[in-house]
Amino acid sequence: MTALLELADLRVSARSGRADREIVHGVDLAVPAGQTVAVVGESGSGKSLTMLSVMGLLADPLHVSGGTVRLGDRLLTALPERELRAIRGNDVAMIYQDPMTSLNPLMRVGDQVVETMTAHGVPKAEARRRMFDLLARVGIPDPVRTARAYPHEFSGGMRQRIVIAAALAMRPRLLIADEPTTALDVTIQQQILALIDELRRELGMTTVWVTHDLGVVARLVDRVVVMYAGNVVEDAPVRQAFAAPQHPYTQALLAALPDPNDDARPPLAQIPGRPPAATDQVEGCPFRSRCRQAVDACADRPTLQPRLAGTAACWVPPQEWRS
Amino acid sequence: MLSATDLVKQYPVRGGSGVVHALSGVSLTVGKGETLGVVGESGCGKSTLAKLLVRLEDPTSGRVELDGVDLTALRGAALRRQRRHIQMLFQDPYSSLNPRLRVGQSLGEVLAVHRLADGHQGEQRVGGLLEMVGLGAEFADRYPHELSGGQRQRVGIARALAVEPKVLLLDEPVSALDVSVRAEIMNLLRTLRDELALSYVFISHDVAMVRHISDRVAVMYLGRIVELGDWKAVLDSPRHPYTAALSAAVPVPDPALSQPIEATVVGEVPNPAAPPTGCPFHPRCPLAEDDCRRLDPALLSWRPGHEVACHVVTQRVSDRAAEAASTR
Repeated sequence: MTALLELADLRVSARSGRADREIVHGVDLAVPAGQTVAVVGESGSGKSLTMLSVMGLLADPLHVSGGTVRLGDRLLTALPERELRAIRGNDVAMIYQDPMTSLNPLMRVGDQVVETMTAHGVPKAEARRRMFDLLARVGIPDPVRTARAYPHEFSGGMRQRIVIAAALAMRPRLLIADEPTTALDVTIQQQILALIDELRRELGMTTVWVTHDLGVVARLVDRVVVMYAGNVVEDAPVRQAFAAPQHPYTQALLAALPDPNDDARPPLAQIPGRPPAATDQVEGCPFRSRCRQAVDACADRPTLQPRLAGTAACWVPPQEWRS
Repeated sequence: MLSATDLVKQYPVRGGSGVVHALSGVSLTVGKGETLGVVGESGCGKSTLAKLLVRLEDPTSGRVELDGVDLTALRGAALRRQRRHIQMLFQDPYSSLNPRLRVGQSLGEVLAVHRLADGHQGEQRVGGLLEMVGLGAEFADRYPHELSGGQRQRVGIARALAVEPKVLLLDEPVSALDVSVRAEIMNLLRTLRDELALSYVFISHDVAMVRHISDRVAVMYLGRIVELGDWKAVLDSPRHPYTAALSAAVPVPDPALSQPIEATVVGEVPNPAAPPTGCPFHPRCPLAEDDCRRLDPALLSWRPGHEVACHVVTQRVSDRAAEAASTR
């Protein structure tokens, strides 16, 4: 199966003075068409930067400093901004945590959905007709009337629905959803997750969820990619990631969540220490100083190696499946 | 020790007539060393409740008492003395720390203002507070911007504990933190509660965290408590349809549950300036009956120590009683 999206040794750096400071250290990631993947990591792991570079959306001083991004048969990292713009919103769409970053506060929401279509060559009249269908499809009540309203007249959940309508207007092949429900209330969060998942199935979209919370994505994805300090440390089918996590960091992340079925409510498992800062020069495995299982070999940087049905970057011997 | 009786808070609607019903008759108690979890979504009144409990704002009506002292009646110096006993910890402690002061100066200031310690004694006390929250005395020389999110939250806790309060109000204390840091802060909060016999009001939208720390849980919806009781009863066997929807919306970290994710409740929270008639939850409730559209349900006992404000549940209780009476 050929991948729809393929990152090869992707590096992101920040210009500081004359030097470049590398923040994402060579990510390899292939997402086959139709697959749903979660990129999981905490603040500073590089997960959002990695996905922003897919869209060519890194802002100065950040830039792609090595490696490639391929979408279908096109090498995105080699395209000029003009051609990237034609791809964004058309082949690839992105939904962010805060819907207001994607909405223009001064423009009627209906016009914003129409604009994403006319920008990609859809005739205005047809775009307007489709806009009403889209708003209805994402659960906006009374689309004819609400299309005339401005973003501030809506709740956070409704705004995110409008963003989804605009993002999916061109039926993109790839959807990147970066913490799209983090800012929303629990019941609304559930509504939005269900809506995105439904539309993903309907349109057959390849989907990448970006999140810091493994729990949220467990039931949404086929595969989990865990990032730590700018590196992919584990890449595994979702059931394996939860039942037989191979990297000690993945294991620690899972243990830090409260078990909803445990009535004894034991203290949550902590990870000692802190992740290395982007400015730190790290020798060997970046998780080594916090890892309870570290061995002498960890002084050398591990690369991703096959582990069960996935890969992990770790020298510690494989873990068995838990029952 | 801390009790609130029939708290009501109304705000005038900005630039119009009418009022926003932020809190419509909330009563609760928190015992010594006990943690009351307060769970609800935006607009449920949980933040208003916190502001009234620490007397940042006055209630429209109702009373807050601490160890038998009516806080709502106090003014001036007497209020300041009592206020010390209830401290608040916010989601982002950064906003409550002066960015130009070193951590030690900020904490020392709190001690001096409350005349608890100054000079060398103050420094020692600051060191002790920082040790207590797991930071070490050397953090006294740091500025807030030099700290990570977790370290800032630890300083926030030290600051709240500096005045030796009896009650801590925790308003979304871990919501802005990464998963692994969240675990550290939750563990620290539980340890401090047990060591210092503190009472907590733990306010959060995160049901999993509320379940992890609470002795009792109050579920709020549109300015009132709709379910109240022992944590396990309320969260694991909820009676109110809203609590049931909230609990079911908690993401289960189990990929083996392969059915698609479904929304557990439709629609959004109504505008508190124009609340629905009858039960505030009826427009979104799967069980709503005619009575629910007309009558506002009271918080009634379902089982000892477990109260629910729902007509449908109450009806079941009286049906059960009638059945028991007829078979007797």
